[in-house]
Amino acid sequence: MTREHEDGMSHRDGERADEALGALVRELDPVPEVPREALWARIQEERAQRRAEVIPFRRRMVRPAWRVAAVLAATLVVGVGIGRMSRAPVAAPDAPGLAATDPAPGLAEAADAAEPYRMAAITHLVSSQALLISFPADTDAGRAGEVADWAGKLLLTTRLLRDTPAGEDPQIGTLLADLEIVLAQLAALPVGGSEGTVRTELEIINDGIDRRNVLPRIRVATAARGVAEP
Amino acid sequence: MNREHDRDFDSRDRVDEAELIQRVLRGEPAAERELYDAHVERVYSLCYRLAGGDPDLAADFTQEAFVRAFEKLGTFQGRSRLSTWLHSVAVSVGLNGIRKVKRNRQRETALDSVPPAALATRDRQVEPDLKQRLREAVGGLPEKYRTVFVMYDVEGYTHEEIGAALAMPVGTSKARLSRARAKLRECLAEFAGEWAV
Repeated sequence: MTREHEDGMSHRDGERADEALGALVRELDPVPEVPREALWARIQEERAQRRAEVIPFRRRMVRPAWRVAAVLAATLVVGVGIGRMSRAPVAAPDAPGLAATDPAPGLAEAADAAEPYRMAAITHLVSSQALLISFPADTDAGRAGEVADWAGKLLLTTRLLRDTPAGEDPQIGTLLADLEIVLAQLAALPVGGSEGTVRTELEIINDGIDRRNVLPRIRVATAARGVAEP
Repeated sequence: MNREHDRDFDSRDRVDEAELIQRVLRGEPAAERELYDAHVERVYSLCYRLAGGDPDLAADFTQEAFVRAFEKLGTFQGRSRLSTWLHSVAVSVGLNGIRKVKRNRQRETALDSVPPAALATRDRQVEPDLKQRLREAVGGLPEKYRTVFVMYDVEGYTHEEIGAALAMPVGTSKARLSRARAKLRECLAEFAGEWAV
Protein backbone atom coordinates (compact mmCIF):
# COMPACT_ATOMS: atom_id res chain seq x y z
CA MET A 1 0.00 0.00 0.00
CA THR A 2 1.34 3.40 -0.86
CA ARG A 3 0.44 6.05 1.65
CA GLU A 4 -0.06 9.46 0.18
CA HIS A 5 1.13 12.70 1.66
CA GLU A 6 -1.36 15.51 1.84
CA ASP A 7 0.31 17.16 -1.14
CA GLY A 8 -0.04 14.03 -3.25
CA MET A 9 3.52 12.72 -2.90
CA SER A 10 3.98 9.01 -2.23
CA HIS A 11 5.17 8.05 1.24
CA ARG A 12 8.63 7.15 -0.06
CA ASP A 13 8.91 10.46 -1.91
CA GLY A 14 7.73 12.19 1.23
CA GLU A 15 10.41 10.55 3.33
CA ARG A 16 13.09 11.53 0.86
CA ALA A 17 11.75 15.05 0.77
CA ASP A 18 11.77 15.19 4.56
CA GLU A 19 15.37 14.05 4.68
CA ALA A 20 16.20 16.55 1.97
CA LEU A 21 14.73 19.32 4.09
CA GLY A 22 17.21 18.72 6.89
CA ALA A 23 20.04 18.44 4.38
CA LEU A 24 18.91 21.65 2.76
CA VAL A 25 19.04 23.50 6.07
CA ARG A 26 22.57 22.22 6.64
CA GLU A 27 23.60 23.12 3.11
CA LEU A 28 22.08 26.57 2.91
CA ASP A 29 22.87 27.54 6.47
CA PRO A 30 26.02 25.69 7.51
CA VAL A 31 27.20 25.98 11.08
CA PRO A 32 30.14 28.37 11.20
CA GLU A 33 33.45 27.19 12.58
CA VAL A 34 33.26 26.97 16.35
CA PRO A 35 35.20 29.81 17.98
CA ARG A 36 36.69 27.21 20.27
CA GLU A 37 39.40 29.21 22.02
CA ALA A 38 37.39 32.41 22.35
CA LEU A 39 34.47 30.47 23.78
CA TRP A 40 36.66 28.64 26.25
CA ALA A 41 38.10 31.94 27.45
CA ARG A 42 34.58 33.35 27.88
CA ILE A 43 33.46 30.28 29.80
CA GLN A 44 36.41 30.48 32.15
CA GLU A 45 35.87 34.19 32.72
CA GLU A 46 32.16 33.73 33.42
CA ARG A 47 32.79 30.89 35.86
CA ALA A 48 35.39 32.93 37.74
CA GLN A 49 32.95 35.83 37.96
CA ARG A 50 30.14 33.64 39.29
CA ARG A 51 32.39 32.01 41.85
CA ALA A 52 33.27 35.46 43.11
CA GLU A 53 29.56 36.30 43.41
CA VAL A 54 28.68 33.06 45.18
CA ILE A 55 31.28 33.38 47.96
CA PRO A 56 29.47 36.14 49.87
CA PHE A 57 26.27 34.06 49.76
CA ARG A 58 28.06 31.01 51.11
CA ARG A 59 29.50 33.10 53.91
CA ARG A 60 25.95 33.95 54.90
CA MET A 61 25.21 30.25 54.96
CA VAL A 62 27.80 29.52 57.61
CA ARG A 63 26.10 29.01 60.96
CA PRO A 64 27.64 28.93 64.42
CA ALA A 65 28.11 25.40 65.69
CA TRP A 66 25.53 25.83 68.45
CA ARG A 67 22.86 26.74 65.91
CA VAL A 68 23.67 23.67 63.85
CA ALA A 69 23.37 21.52 66.96
CA ALA A 70 20.11 23.21 67.91
CA VAL A 71 18.56 22.55 64.50
CA LEU A 72 19.47 18.88 64.62
CA ALA A 73 18.38 18.53 68.24
CA ALA A 74 15.00 20.10 67.53
CA THR A 75 14.49 17.83 64.53
CA LEU A 76 15.43 14.77 66.53
CA VAL A 77 13.13 15.68 69.42
CA VAL A 78 10.19 15.94 67.05
CA GLY A 79 11.25 12.73 65.33
CA VAL A 80 11.63 10.80 68.56
CA GLY A 81 8.22 12.01 69.71
CA ILE A 82 6.56 10.92 66.51
CA GLY A 83 8.51 7.67 66.56
CA ARG A 84 7.25 6.79 70.00
CA MET A 85 3.71 7.69 69.18
CA SER A 86 3.68 5.77 65.92
CA ARG A 87 5.57 2.68 67.07
CA ALA A 88 3.58 -0.51 66.61
CA PRO A 89 2.36 -2.19 69.82
CA VAL A 90 4.87 -4.75 71.09
CA ALA A 91 3.59 -8.28 71.24
CA ALA A 92 3.37 -9.96 74.61
CA PRO A 93 6.43 -12.09 75.43
CA ASP A 94 4.37 -15.23 75.51
CA ALA A 95 2.80 -14.63 72.14
CA PRO A 96 2.91 -17.86 70.13
CA GLY A 97 5.88 -18.09 67.73
CA LEU A 98 7.53 -14.85 68.82
CA ALA A 99 10.73 -16.43 70.16
CA ALA A 100 11.19 -18.53 67.05
CA THR A 101 10.96 -15.57 64.70
CA ASP A 102 13.35 -13.27 66.60
CA PRO A 103 16.75 -14.96 66.45
CA ALA A 104 18.82 -11.77 66.69
CA PRO A 105 17.52 -9.42 69.35
CA GLY A 106 20.67 -7.29 69.02
CA LEU A 107 19.77 -6.45 65.44
CA ALA A 108 16.25 -5.61 66.44
CA GLU A 109 17.54 -3.25 69.10
CA ALA A 110 19.84 -1.54 66.60
CA ALA A 111 16.96 -1.13 64.18
CA ASP A 112 14.85 0.22 67.00
CA ALA A 113 17.56 2.68 67.94
CA ALA A 114 17.58 4.00 64.38
CA GLU A 115 13.83 4.57 64.33
CA PRO A 116 13.92 8.03 65.97
CA TYR A 117 16.39 9.17 63.33
CA ARG A 118 14.17 7.80 60.59
CA MET A 119 11.19 9.61 62.03
CA ALA A 120 13.24 12.79 62.31
CA ALA A 121 14.10 12.36 58.65
CA ILE A 122 10.45 11.85 57.75
CA THR A 123 9.50 15.01 59.65
CA HIS A 124 12.23 16.81 57.76
CA LEU A 125 11.02 15.42 54.43
CA VAL A 126 7.55 16.78 55.15
CA SER A 127 9.03 20.24 55.81
CA SER A 128 11.07 20.02 52.63
CA GLN A 129 8.03 18.92 50.68
CA ALA A 130 6.35 22.20 51.61
CA LEU A 131 9.24 24.12 50.08
CA LEU A 132 9.35 22.01 46.94
CA ILE A 133 5.64 22.57 46.39
CA SER A 134 5.61 26.28 47.11
CA PHE A 135 8.85 27.54 45.62
CA PRO A 136 7.56 28.05 42.03
CA ALA A 137 4.84 30.39 43.28
CA ASP A 138 7.20 32.08 45.72
CA THR A 139 9.82 32.78 43.09
CA ASP A 140 7.15 34.02 40.67
CA ALA A 141 6.10 36.44 43.40
CA GLY A 142 9.65 37.78 43.65
CA ARG A 143 10.57 35.91 46.82
CA ALA A 144 13.54 34.02 45.39
CA GLY A 145 15.73 35.29 48.24
CA GLU A 146 13.42 33.81 50.87
CA VAL A 147 13.28 30.54 48.96
CA ALA A 148 17.09 30.38 48.86
CA ASP A 149 17.36 31.08 52.58
CA TRP A 150 14.73 28.48 53.43
CA ALA A 151 16.43 25.93 51.19
CA GLY A 152 19.75 26.72 52.85
CA LYS A 153 18.34 25.92 56.28
CA LEU A 154 16.75 22.69 55.08
CA LEU A 155 19.97 21.78 53.31
CA LEU A 156 21.87 22.03 56.56
CA THR A 157 19.49 19.63 58.30
CA THR A 158 19.50 17.30 55.30
CA ARG A 159 23.26 16.97 55.46
CA LEU A 160 23.20 16.36 59.19
CA LEU A 161 20.52 13.69 58.82
CA ARG A 162 22.48 11.92 56.10
CA ASP A 163 25.20 11.31 58.66
CA THR A 164 22.76 9.65 61.08
CA PRO A 165 21.40 6.07 60.86
CA ALA A 166 18.53 7.49 58.79
CA GLY A 167 21.02 8.12 56.00
CA GLU A 168 21.72 4.39 55.85
CA ASP A 169 18.09 3.50 55.33
CA PRO A 170 17.72 2.33 51.70
CA GLN A 171 14.60 4.37 51.06
CA ILE A 172 15.19 7.44 53.20
CA GLY A 173 18.94 7.61 52.58
CA THR A 174 18.64 7.86 48.80
CA LEU A 175 15.77 10.29 49.16
CA LEU A 176 17.86 12.52 51.43
CA ALA A 177 20.72 12.35 48.92
CA ASP A 178 18.49 13.49 46.06
CA LEU A 179 16.86 16.12 48.27
CA GLU A 180 20.29 17.46 49.14
CA ILE A 181 21.03 18.09 45.47
CA VAL A 182 17.75 19.89 44.88
CA LEU A 183 18.10 22.00 48.03
CA ALA A 184 21.67 22.89 47.15
CA GLN A 185 20.44 24.16 43.79
CA LEU A 186 17.65 26.17 45.39
CA ALA A 187 19.98 27.58 48.04
CA ALA A 188 22.33 28.75 45.29
CA LEU A 189 19.61 30.49 43.29
CA PRO A 190 21.10 33.55 41.61
CA VAL A 191 18.95 35.88 43.69
CA GLY A 192 20.43 39.04 42.22
CA GLY A 193 20.42 37.61 38.70
CA SER A 194 18.23 38.60 35.81
CA GLU A 195 14.70 37.24 35.50
CA GLY A 196 15.80 35.00 32.65
CA THR A 197 18.72 33.59 34.63
CA VAL A 198 16.52 32.77 37.60
CA ARG A 199 13.85 31.25 35.35
CA THR A 200 16.38 29.05 33.55
CA GLU A 201 17.77 27.93 36.88
CA LEU A 202 14.31 27.12 38.17
CA GLU A 203 13.51 25.08 35.09
CA ILE A 204 16.65 23.02 35.59
CA ILE A 205 15.75 22.52 39.25
CA ASN A 206 12.21 21.51 38.35
CA ASP A 207 13.56 19.09 35.76
CA GLY A 208 15.77 17.58 38.45
CA ILE A 209 12.87 17.21 40.88
CA ASP A 210 10.77 15.51 38.22
CA ARG A 211 13.58 13.30 36.96
CA ARG A 212 14.35 12.06 40.45
CA ASN A 213 10.67 11.71 41.37
CA VAL A 214 11.45 13.53 44.60
CA LEU A 215 7.92 14.59 45.49
CA PRO A 216 6.22 11.24 44.79
CA ARG A 217 8.94 9.46 46.78
CA ILE A 218 8.48 11.81 49.72
CA ARG A 219 4.76 11.14 49.63
CA VAL A 220 5.35 7.40 49.58
CA ALA A 221 7.86 7.56 52.43
CA THR A 222 5.68 9.75 54.62
CA ALA A 223 2.49 7.83 53.86
CA ALA A 224 4.21 4.57 54.77
CA ARG A 225 4.83 5.98 58.23
CA GLY A 226 1.45 7.53 58.62
CA VAL A 227 2.66 11.14 58.60
CA ALA A 228 0.22 13.66 57.23
CA GLU A 229 1.23 15.94 54.39
CA PRO A 230 1.61 19.64 55.13
CA MET B 1 24.50 12.36 9.21
CA ASN B 2 25.28 9.95 12.03
CA ARG B 3 22.34 8.69 14.07
CA GLU B 4 24.24 5.82 15.73
CA HIS B 5 25.37 7.59 18.87
CA ASP B 6 23.89 5.19 21.42
CA ARG B 7 25.15 2.02 19.78
CA ASP B 8 28.63 3.48 19.42
CA PHE B 9 28.82 4.13 23.13
CA ASP B 10 30.27 0.98 24.68
CA SER B 11 31.22 0.13 28.25
CA ARG B 12 34.79 1.35 27.72
CA ASP B 13 33.47 4.78 26.73
CA ARG B 14 31.25 4.77 29.79
CA VAL B 15 34.20 4.09 32.07
CA ASP B 16 36.28 6.76 30.35
CA GLU B 17 33.42 9.20 30.71
CA ALA B 18 32.96 8.41 34.40
CA GLU B 19 36.69 8.90 34.97
CA LEU B 20 36.66 12.18 33.12
CA ILE B 21 33.73 13.40 35.22
CA GLN B 22 35.52 12.44 38.42
CA ARG B 23 38.59 14.34 37.31
CA VAL B 24 36.51 17.41 36.53
CA LEU B 25 34.83 17.16 39.93
CA ARG B 26 38.24 16.99 41.56
CA GLY B 27 38.97 20.31 39.87
CA GLU B 28 41.50 19.25 37.26
CA PRO B 29 41.67 22.05 34.66
CA ALA B 30 42.95 19.68 31.97
CA ALA B 31 39.90 17.46 32.47
CA GLU B 32 37.57 20.44 32.16
CA ARG B 33 39.18 21.34 28.88
CA GLU B 34 38.98 17.73 27.72
CA LEU B 35 35.27 17.61 28.44
CA TYR B 36 34.78 20.91 26.64
CA ASP B 37 36.75 19.79 23.59
CA ALA B 38 34.83 16.53 23.39
CA HIS B 39 31.42 18.19 23.30
CA VAL B 40 31.72 21.78 22.13
CA GLU B 41 31.20 21.05 18.43
CA ARG B 42 27.79 19.41 18.87
CA VAL B 43 26.68 21.78 21.62
CA TYR B 44 27.58 24.81 19.53
CA SER B 45 25.92 23.31 16.48
CA LEU B 46 22.74 22.64 18.43
CA CYS B 47 22.79 26.14 19.92
CA TYR B 48 23.33 27.63 16.46
CA ARG B 49 20.20 25.91 15.20
CA LEU B 50 18.18 26.84 18.28
CA ALA B 51 19.37 30.42 17.84
CA GLY B 52 17.96 30.46 14.31
CA GLY B 53 21.39 30.73 12.70
CA ASP B 54 22.67 33.64 14.77
CA PRO B 55 26.35 32.92 15.56
CA ASP B 56 26.54 35.48 18.37
CA LEU B 57 23.52 34.01 20.13
CA ALA B 58 24.89 30.53 19.52
CA ALA B 59 28.10 31.52 21.28
CA ASP B 60 26.14 33.01 24.18
CA PHE B 61 24.06 29.86 24.56
CA THR B 62 27.08 27.58 24.29
CA GLN B 63 28.92 29.59 26.92
CA GLU B 64 25.99 29.46 29.30
CA ALA B 65 25.43 25.75 28.67
CA PHE B 66 28.99 24.88 29.59
CA VAL B 67 29.07 27.20 32.59
CA ARG B 68 25.92 25.53 33.91
CA ALA B 69 27.19 22.08 33.06
CA PHE B 70 30.37 22.62 35.05
CA GLU B 71 28.35 24.05 37.94
CA LYS B 72 25.90 21.15 37.96
CA LEU B 73 28.17 18.29 37.00
CA GLY B 74 28.06 17.05 40.59
CA THR B 75 24.34 16.40 40.15
CA PHE B 76 24.88 14.22 37.07
CA GLN B 77 24.10 10.68 38.19
CA GLY B 78 25.26 8.74 35.16
CA ARG B 79 21.81 7.40 34.32
CA SER B 80 22.24 8.71 30.79
CA ARG B 81 25.26 9.56 28.72
CA LEU B 82 27.01 12.77 29.63
CA SER B 83 26.36 14.10 26.12
CA THR B 84 22.60 13.55 26.56
CA TRP B 85 22.64 15.41 29.85
CA LEU B 86 24.81 18.17 28.42
CA HIS B 87 22.57 18.59 25.41
CA SER B 88 19.51 18.79 27.65
CA VAL B 89 21.21 21.65 29.48
CA ALA B 90 22.00 23.29 26.13
CA VAL B 91 18.42 22.89 24.93
CA SER B 92 17.09 24.41 28.13
CA VAL B 93 19.50 27.32 27.91
CA GLY B 94 18.87 27.79 24.19
CA LEU B 95 15.09 27.73 24.40
CA ASN B 96 14.99 30.09 27.35
CA GLY B 97 17.49 32.35 25.66
CA ILE B 98 15.57 32.54 22.44
CA ARG B 99 12.33 33.23 24.31
CA LYS B 100 14.01 36.10 26.05
CA VAL B 101 15.40 37.46 22.79
CA LYS B 102 11.99 37.26 21.19
CA ARG B 103 10.39 39.05 24.10
CA ASN B 104 13.00 41.75 23.94
CA ARG B 105 12.65 42.24 20.23
CA GLN B 106 8.86 42.20 20.44
CA ARG B 107 8.57 40.75 17.02
CA GLU B 108 7.68 37.16 17.47
CA THR B 109 6.03 35.83 14.34
CA ALA B 110 4.30 32.52 14.60
CA LEU B 111 4.05 30.82 11.27
CA ASP B 112 0.68 29.44 12.36
CA SER B 113 -0.74 32.95 12.14
CA VAL B 114 0.38 33.41 8.53
CA PRO B 115 -1.99 31.78 6.05
CA PRO B 116 -0.09 29.43 3.77
CA ALA B 117 -1.92 30.95 0.85
CA ALA B 118 -0.33 34.30 1.57
CA LEU B 119 3.09 32.72 1.42
CA ALA B 120 2.25 30.86 -1.74
CA THR B 121 1.35 34.01 -3.64
CA ARG B 122 4.89 35.34 -3.49
CA ASP B 123 6.91 35.17 -6.67
CA ARG B 124 9.09 32.15 -6.98
CA GLN B 125 12.70 33.19 -6.85
CA VAL B 126 16.11 31.61 -6.90
CA GLU B 127 18.03 29.91 -4.11
CA PRO B 128 18.90 32.95 -1.95
CA ASP B 129 15.19 33.50 -1.47
CA LEU B 130 14.73 29.84 -0.68
CA LYS B 131 17.38 30.13 2.00
CA GLN B 132 15.58 33.07 3.54
CA ARG B 133 12.22 31.38 3.27
CA LEU B 134 13.56 28.21 4.75
CA ARG B 135 15.03 30.10 7.68
CA GLU B 136 11.73 31.92 8.18
CA ALA B 137 9.75 28.72 7.89
CA VAL B 138 11.91 26.87 10.41
CA GLY B 139 12.08 29.91 12.68
CA GLY B 140 8.31 30.31 12.46
CA LEU B 141 7.55 26.79 13.58
CA PRO B 142 6.11 26.57 17.08
CA GLU B 143 8.97 25.97 19.48
CA LYS B 144 8.08 22.38 20.33
CA TYR B 145 8.08 21.40 16.65
CA ARG B 146 11.12 23.44 15.70
CA THR B 147 13.25 21.96 18.46
CA VAL B 148 12.53 18.40 17.41
CA PHE B 149 13.01 19.22 13.72
CA VAL B 150 16.42 20.83 14.17
CA MET B 151 17.56 18.11 16.54
CA TYR B 152 16.42 15.17 14.41
CA ASP B 153 16.49 16.25 10.78
CA VAL B 154 19.23 18.84 10.91
CA GLU B 155 21.55 17.77 13.72
CA GLY B 156 21.03 14.02 13.53
CA TYR B 157 19.92 13.23 17.07
CA THR B 158 17.92 10.07 17.61
CA HIS B 159 14.38 10.20 18.95
CA GLU B 160 15.68 8.55 22.11
CA GLU B 161 18.22 11.32 22.59
CA ILE B 162 15.62 13.98 21.91
CA GLY B 163 13.21 12.36 24.33
CA ALA B 164 15.88 12.31 27.02
CA ALA B 165 16.96 15.89 26.36
CA LEU B 166 13.44 17.28 26.31
CA ALA B 167 12.02 14.93 28.96
CA MET B 168 9.29 13.51 26.76
CA PRO B 169 8.39 10.10 25.35
CA VAL B 170 9.93 8.95 22.09
CA GLY B 171 6.47 8.81 20.54
CA THR B 172 5.92 12.49 21.26
CA SER B 173 9.22 13.31 19.59
CA LYS B 174 8.15 11.37 16.49
CA ALA B 175 4.74 13.01 16.42
CA ARG B 176 6.22 16.48 16.73
CA LEU B 177 8.71 15.77 13.97
CA SER B 178 5.95 14.62 11.71
CA ARG B 179 3.96 17.77 12.44
CA ALA B 180 7.02 19.98 11.89
CA ARG B 181 7.76 18.35 8.55
CA ALA B 182 4.17 18.72 7.42
CA LYS B 183 4.18 22.40 8.26
CA LEU B 184 7.47 22.95 6.48
CA ARG B 185 6.30 21.06 3.40
CA GLU B 186 3.23 23.21 3.36
CA CYS B 187 5.15 26.45 3.68
CA LEU B 188 7.83 25.51 1.15
CA ALA B 189 5.55 23.81 -1.38
CA GLU B 190 6.32 26.33 -4.07
CA PHE B 191 10.01 25.55 -3.78
CA ALA B 192 9.54 21.78 -3.80
CA GLY B 193 11.39 21.40 -7.10
CA GLU B 194 14.52 22.85 -5.58
CA TRP B 195 14.76 20.51 -2.63
CA ALA B 196 12.44 17.53 -2.99
CA VAL B 197 13.65 14.50 -4.93
